[in-house]
Amino acid sequence: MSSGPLHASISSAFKRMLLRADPLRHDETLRGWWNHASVRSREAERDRSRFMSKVFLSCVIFITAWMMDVAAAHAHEHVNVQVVRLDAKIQKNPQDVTLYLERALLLRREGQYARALADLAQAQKLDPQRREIVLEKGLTLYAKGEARAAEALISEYLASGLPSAKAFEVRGAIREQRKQFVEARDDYANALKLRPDPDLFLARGRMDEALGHGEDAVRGYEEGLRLLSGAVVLRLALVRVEHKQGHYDRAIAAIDEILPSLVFKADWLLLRAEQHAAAARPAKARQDREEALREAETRLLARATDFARLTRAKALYALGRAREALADVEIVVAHAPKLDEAHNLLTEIRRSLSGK
Amino acid sequence: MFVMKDAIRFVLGGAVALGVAVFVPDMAHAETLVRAPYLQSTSHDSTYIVWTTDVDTSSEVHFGPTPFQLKQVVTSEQATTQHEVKISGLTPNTKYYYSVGSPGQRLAGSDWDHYFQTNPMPGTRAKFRAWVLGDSGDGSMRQTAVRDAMANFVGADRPQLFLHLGDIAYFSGTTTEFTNLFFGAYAKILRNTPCWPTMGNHEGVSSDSGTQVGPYYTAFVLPKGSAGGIPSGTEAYYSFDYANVHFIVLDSHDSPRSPAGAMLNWLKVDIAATNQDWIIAYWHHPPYSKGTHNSDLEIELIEMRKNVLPILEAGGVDLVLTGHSHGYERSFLLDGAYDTPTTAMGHIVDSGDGKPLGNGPYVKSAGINPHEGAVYVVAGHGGALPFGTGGHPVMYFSEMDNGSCLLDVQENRLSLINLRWDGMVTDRFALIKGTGIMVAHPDGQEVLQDGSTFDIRWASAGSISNVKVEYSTDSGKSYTTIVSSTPNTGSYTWTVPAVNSNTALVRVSNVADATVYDESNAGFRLVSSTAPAGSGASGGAGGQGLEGTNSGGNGLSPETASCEVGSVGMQEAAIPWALGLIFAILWRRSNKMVT
Repeated sequence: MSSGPLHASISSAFKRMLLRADPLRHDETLRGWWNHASVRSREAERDRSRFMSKVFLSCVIFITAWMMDVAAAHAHEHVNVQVVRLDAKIQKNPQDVTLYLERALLLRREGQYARALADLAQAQKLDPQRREIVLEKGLTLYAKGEARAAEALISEYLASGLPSAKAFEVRGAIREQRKQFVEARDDYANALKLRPDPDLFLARGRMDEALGHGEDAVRGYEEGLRLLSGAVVLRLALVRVEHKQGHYDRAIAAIDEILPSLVFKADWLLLRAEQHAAAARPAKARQDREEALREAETRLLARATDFARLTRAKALYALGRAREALADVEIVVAHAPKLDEAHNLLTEIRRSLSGK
Repeated sequence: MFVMKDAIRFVLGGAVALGVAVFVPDMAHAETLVRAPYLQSTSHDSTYIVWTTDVDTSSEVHFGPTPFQLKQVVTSEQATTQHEVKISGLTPNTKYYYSVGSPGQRLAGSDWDHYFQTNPMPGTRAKFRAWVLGDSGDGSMRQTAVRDAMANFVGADRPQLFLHLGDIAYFSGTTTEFTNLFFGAYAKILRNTPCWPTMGNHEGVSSDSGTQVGPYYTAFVLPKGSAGGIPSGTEAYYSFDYANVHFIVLDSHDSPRSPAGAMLNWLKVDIAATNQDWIIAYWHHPPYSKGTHNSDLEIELIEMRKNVLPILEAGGVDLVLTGHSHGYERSFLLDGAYDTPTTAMGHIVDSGDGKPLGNGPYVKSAGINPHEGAVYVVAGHGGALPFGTGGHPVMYFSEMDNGSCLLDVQENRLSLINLRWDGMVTDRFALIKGTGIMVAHPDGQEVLQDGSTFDIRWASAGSISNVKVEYSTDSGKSYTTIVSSTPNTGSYTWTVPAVNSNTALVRVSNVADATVYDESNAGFRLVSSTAPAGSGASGGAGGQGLEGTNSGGNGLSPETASCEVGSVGMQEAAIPWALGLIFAILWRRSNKMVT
């Protein structure tokens, strides 16, 4: 095949480039350059060594710049490596809606709502029919604190196709905040059909209680206990709602179910004592409280955790020894200022001691 | 040289292969393993054995005290590809061998490689080791190197537990990614060592903690109910006991992290109820990191620090392990640093290095006590590309390179090493509760030649005037005294005796109270040129070891591996067998064609 004009021009450009780069500049052809380079004159050697140094330096500068670029990319504002990767992927595939959705989700999780919404707007422009964009937009607005707009979008999403537990759950939470308990309960119940987890059982029960449907709440927690291998948070909720309804013996039955499996029983004994006290059985209540106090004191000798001290404080307070309880709770609050239970008990004991 | 014995081997090999080819029924349509058997939710009296097949079949597990006595059988008639067989009524701290398959079809096991060991009774102060791995499953050379570094390092003293800190299968935690990048990559570990995982953000792409649906939740059988802790009702977060340690596993990615949420309310009840000597918690997103993630910027990291740490520290947590940031970061002994941005001022309980041979181990009171400090470790360096600089103010040491951690617990002593992918130990810290001794040297893998001198070194906490130093050549079953009483200076120069052992240990104990002691975490070698072969030797790995440098490929068991170093190499021996097999297949094909 003969050399065409393109080949010739590339060839000559290549030669020109080499000649420009070549400090010797004596011959016009490659062969000539190499031949000349092989001449062992002192000057030529020096020049060639200068040339190689320049090439080496250029390489070093290039590698350093590249490493700095990589480092800069990694030290980007979004430390999340997944976001950095998605940035690169989107640059390569700017029409890929899924990539925008993925990045929006990550940005939402990082709290960068404006950027997340910008990605979602772009995604919607590319594929206006895609439902997940509407849901993700709703979730982002909810996280941003724009509950009303979020609710509208989530409702739009739910009306347009298959349901999602997450959508029901978030809309339920929005409605709960607005005290629309009936609607919120429906949302939580629908979410539960898709996703039976402890948080949703608690949420639905909370709505039942808010609506004054104690028996429904009880049934709901019991259903959760059956389905979720006796999840302890549901047992506590069950005991609380039974107590609230005056079903003290049912509350005791729920406590007695878990007691044999526990090494440290004091907290549950105190809970049982509350039921006995409410059921006007003071002797049994006292018996449980004294046993709880004994256990808490023994435990404190081996493991003086804030929780163990808090348990002793609760036992002391329940037994009418408020000043000793106060001393314990003050220690716990000083050690663990972020423990809400300790703060609540402290407030209660102080109020009781001041007679207010 | 092709001599008579090779000819005999050729003929025998051909005969056996011929028998297989002619008499064994056509297996083309039988089920095959997709995921080799692995252990789940092992306790002191039960375990799950899980495997997957390409087609639905029933499940059958045979087990027993040796590979040749698998007389006990558990069967499930339900046809499935995801086989999960629970074996109950087991004896604590006991080794069982097993095989898996379906009735009439054995898929794996019935050999020395497939075994499990039940846990010691909860509360027992047994010595054990755990492998801690995070952010591993990216299929890189480094993932393999990290695994092999661990296998080579532990030798016969392999871990009893495998704690995975999340990001198990990149990039999206799909079923295929799990199969190849986790179950395939660690098959030889998982068949003997139960893995207790937590979900990472990459698993979160394909799996949902709320519904507990997706490849992560399908793959793992985790305790919703009690495995030593309080029932959480979900596999997303759970707790379990091993020996005298209570492990708390949280879901930092996909379960609500708010104080009002079920996870944190469960955590309060669970941590308050445990009676164990140690509390170790782990999850994916680190509360403190300046690696590939910044714990002052990302919401999961901030919320775990702000909402979870106050509960854990009030409950007396000792060690917190996390991943997510692709590097190794290890804190000082720390308490109460919940703010954003994190400051170290006022929160470092002990500013020493925690090293047994440095400033000494971190010391806490005996038992569980709150706010005496916990060590926070980021170990998201199991394979994924590390970068960043580290340098978080609460961290004593940061290294942005791949590796994994080995955690050793002995009664009231705990130590952790960072084992880099190239086999180097780049960090070590230890915790002692109350009075204690910690042997630092030898601690496993050393090779000591008879007649040479070796400095036995240890650290101690509490009042100990004199110590007794002993050595064992049989994994601690019996001890020989080196010196019955020497001042507790932290070192003793030992003239290595003329015995051979692959499982030697050193024990240092308080002369005044023999219950205060420590021994090497793992075995070391004593080599003698004068002692008769096998004198004092324990028989080496004895079926316990993990394959080391060969683990990336052939997966030879220790028994087979020992053949390799014999007079006939495996490759040489395989040639006549392979030729025989080819001959038999060709012979069978020609016969088939004739008929």
